[in-house]
Amino acid sequence: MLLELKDIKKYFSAKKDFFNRTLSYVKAVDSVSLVIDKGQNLGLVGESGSGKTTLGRVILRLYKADDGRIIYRGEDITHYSHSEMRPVRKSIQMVFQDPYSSLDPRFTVENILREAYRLIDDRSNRQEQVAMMQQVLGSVNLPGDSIYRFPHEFSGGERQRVAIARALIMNPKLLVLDEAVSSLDVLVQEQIIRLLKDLQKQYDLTYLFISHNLRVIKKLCQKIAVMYKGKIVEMANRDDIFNNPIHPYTRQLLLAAMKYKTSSNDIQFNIQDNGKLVDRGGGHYVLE
Amino acid sequence: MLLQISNLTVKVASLQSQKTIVDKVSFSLSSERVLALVGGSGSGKTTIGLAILRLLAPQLTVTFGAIDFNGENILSASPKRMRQLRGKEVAMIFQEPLDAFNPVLPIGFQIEEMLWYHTALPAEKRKGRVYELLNTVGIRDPRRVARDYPHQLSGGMRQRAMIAQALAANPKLIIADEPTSNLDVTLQARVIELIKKLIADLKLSVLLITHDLGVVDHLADEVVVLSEGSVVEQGAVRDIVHNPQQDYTRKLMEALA
Repeated sequence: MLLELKDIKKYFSAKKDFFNRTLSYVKAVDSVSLVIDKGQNLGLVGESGSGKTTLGRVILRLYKADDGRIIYRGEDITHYSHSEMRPVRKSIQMVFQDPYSSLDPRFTVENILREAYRLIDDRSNRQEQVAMMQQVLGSVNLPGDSIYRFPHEFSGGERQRVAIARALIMNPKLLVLDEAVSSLDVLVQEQIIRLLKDLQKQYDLTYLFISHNLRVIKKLCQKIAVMYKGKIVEMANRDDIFNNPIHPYTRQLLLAAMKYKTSSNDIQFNIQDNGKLVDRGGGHYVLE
Repeated sequence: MLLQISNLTVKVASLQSQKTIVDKVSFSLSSERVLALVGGSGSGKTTIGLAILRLLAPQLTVTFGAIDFNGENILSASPKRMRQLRGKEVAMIFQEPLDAFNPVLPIGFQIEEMLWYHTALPAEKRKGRVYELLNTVGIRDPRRVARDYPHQLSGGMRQRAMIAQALAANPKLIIADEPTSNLDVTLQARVIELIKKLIADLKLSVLLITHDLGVVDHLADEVVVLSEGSVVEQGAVRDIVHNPQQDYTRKLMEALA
């Protein structure tokens, strides 16, 4: 078991009174529990506002969970201090949706990668560093001379490769990819997914792949968790989700992703506040 | 023929070199039909859309070919005539409404501006028409949305508002550039259904620009597949989506599997 989340809650205050006391909350993540096993990619799917990105950020401790526990490789990291988190952060890396805003426009790729590289090795000289960077760039299929270029000189797909290369430098075990291919056209999406599959074998990685699109998740993930309004409504192996979706929200997502259709206008699904995930057999969990 | 493009060639000119962005592209679109331009990023599909509106970036020039809209040669029209055409005869729906709308003006104002500029509708009737337009694109409380600023709306609502703005002056042709690509799949499905309904109800002629053959299959009658500025395949959607002849088209299809 690589990562385990137990009853994670993250509420944001939506309304405050005169004394700055919170009057109402947005339950961005509401009692989410899940397990990611080594080598078993988990796809986290849901519409915008379902809380999937918040959950990803809670895992990296970019947000502090309000309740619940995060257990990474047997260690409870929920309350780790900044210095205790540092080695963990190397091992859990993140790739964001829009590399244009996550890569510093005034840095060359060399600077971008060196920033990461310094954290793991500040002894080697520039030549050794450059050799190492070029090797990583090679594994994401970018030419070695890319290190002299700036982010704006790359196409969308290439920029996303740079972001992946930066994450790989830290030699992570878990890579959180937050809508990493959503802003790319379908052909480039294919290339990046193929690349991610290759890298997984080469670097022994596990992915948490966050996306709104089940079509993309299908190609990369063995397990799928469907999120809606801060809760996981269904979680199962890929084939069970695709061949036997149980929750009506999962069905709607499948219809939208595969057939570009909605079942009817503006369906709101009722989610019990104290609902529990129940095993319907073979590890197919549904919220009831 | 509403729109006829023949041998359109667009080049980017710099001192050292010339690069061809669009290479001898020809197609035509009849009234009340939907034609899709499909291709990956960099295939030149957006450039063609912008060339029709004469909105190309200054470093891009049409070096060859003709664009004929409703019997009029667009490439030789005066700037004044182009201002009349844009919005009134040819309207565009952009991929990112947050960039396309003015952030400091309310949505209703920006739609009304189209009516003020392009129609003879008297001032007292314009508000009512704005609400009607917002209603047409499935916005339930048009009065509130008309008062909102672009950033106050959700992505799906913003995209609907932009469609309403494009429809405002009853244009003969609508150019829709990736109208659903920035939306999540649930919203994408809803907006596709909306566009489909509008095409049928209002008898629109649409030039649809997208990289997603699934969207094409749902909305278009004909399709032109572009790769690196050239046409690789064109024909009826039925033939091309379900029986692609070219490798490039097949790859586009396989990406959706």
